[in-house]
Amino acid sequence: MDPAMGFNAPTTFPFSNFQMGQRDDMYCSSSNSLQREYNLALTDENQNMGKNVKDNKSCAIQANVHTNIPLEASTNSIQNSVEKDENSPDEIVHVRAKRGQATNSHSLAERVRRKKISERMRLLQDLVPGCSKITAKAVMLDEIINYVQSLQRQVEFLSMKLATVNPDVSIDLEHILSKEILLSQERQLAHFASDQGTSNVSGLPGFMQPEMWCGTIPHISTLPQVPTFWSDELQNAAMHSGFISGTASRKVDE
Amino acid sequence: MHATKEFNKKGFFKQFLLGLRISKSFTTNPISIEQRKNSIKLSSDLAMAFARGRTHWTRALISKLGGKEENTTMLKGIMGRRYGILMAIYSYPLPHQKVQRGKKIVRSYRFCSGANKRRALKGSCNRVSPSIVARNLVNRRTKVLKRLVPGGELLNGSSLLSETLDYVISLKAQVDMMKSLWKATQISSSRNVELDPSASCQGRKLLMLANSKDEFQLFKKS
Repeated sequence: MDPAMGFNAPTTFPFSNFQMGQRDDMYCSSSNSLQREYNLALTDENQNMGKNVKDNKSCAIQANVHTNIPLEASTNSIQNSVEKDENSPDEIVHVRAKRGQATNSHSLAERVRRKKISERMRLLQDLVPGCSKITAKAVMLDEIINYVQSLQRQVEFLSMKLATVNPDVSIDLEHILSKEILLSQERQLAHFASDQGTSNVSGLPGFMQPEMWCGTIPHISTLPQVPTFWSDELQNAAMHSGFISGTASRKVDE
Repeated sequence: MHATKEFNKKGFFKQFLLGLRISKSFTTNPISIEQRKNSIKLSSDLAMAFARGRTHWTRALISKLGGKEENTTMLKGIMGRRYGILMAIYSYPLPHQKVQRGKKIVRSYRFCSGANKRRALKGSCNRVSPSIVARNLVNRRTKVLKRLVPGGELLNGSSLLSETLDYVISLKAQVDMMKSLWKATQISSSRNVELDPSASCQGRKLLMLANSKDEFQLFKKS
């Protein structure tokens, strides 16, 4: 979680033992194996939130429970310490007063878990469109499921589309792919260039597009590393745009 | 965090290219559209997984793809000599190979769980508290999400959500890139038509303009 965790680890061990002993006497746990697993879970959680438990260090010392446990306390030693706790009833009375606090290690772990989940949920909320104003968790999960499903379906659909492309076109696919990478690099530049283009044009918004494309062409074609294929493409685009802007102006005249 | 990690687009394209080339070399004789679609999807999925690196969902996805018989030849072709190593690195237990836990512990958990005890005590009244209803709703959706995200069956609450986050980012990038690829093929096909002046030329041009407009909007967004 954070670098401080390793440092705090020693303090967590005595505390967790102390907690376990207390719980053991309180509830008189039935199955031994269950209890062992529970202990393990508790120590795990404590390691995760060493910081929080550190505040309770004084509490643990006050109870005088095993402050001399070594740093590398194994599960065996924990088990032994629990058994020891069971044999010393005078300490339990002391411990019982502290019960019911919100700083109980179990509730702290629960709080950390919930915090983690809500943080992830918030990130997903930002990512999934139309999910920003929903607060209910179930509805949000619904939205996420729908979104993931729609994305998976889109991938299916797009691969189907690509499969139906004329095979002699798909021979060119590799060329296009290798150029596509270059294009994605040029995108930013093209965008800026097109912005410069728009500043000169004061026409209808629908007809702005061709001029922008014209604006990008000299910029890209001057770059030495761009292969001829794409500049051909762009020149074609320029021809199209010129053609269509011509028709457009004719339309406007009419 | 995972969310801040940029998707490796260049790696994706490189891998995708390789996959397409190999699938083409494997299929010299004419094949159905369905088969072509499957090979394209396989190569794009593989490319997405390799571009992301080694996470729970990529491992699950690759071992799921590798588990199918019809894919093995293509996978071997794409991965080459490293096939064995990569499959070992990306190995992931399939849902039916779920690790068996001690039966005794599981049962004792079931019987001793506090909520069950409380419910058993309250058995006389039929009314269910709203908090339990809400929890049930969330649990049901979590189950669905576990089925959707590859490898989600073995994950719990917060880790499932972070994997979902990662998976959604990658899926988004995959869709984006396949879309742009589709547009590129459209442009190139229109270019082929351009070479021989035909009657449908104008229609093609209009189509291209629409495409370029879309692409421009994409630029603007990015």
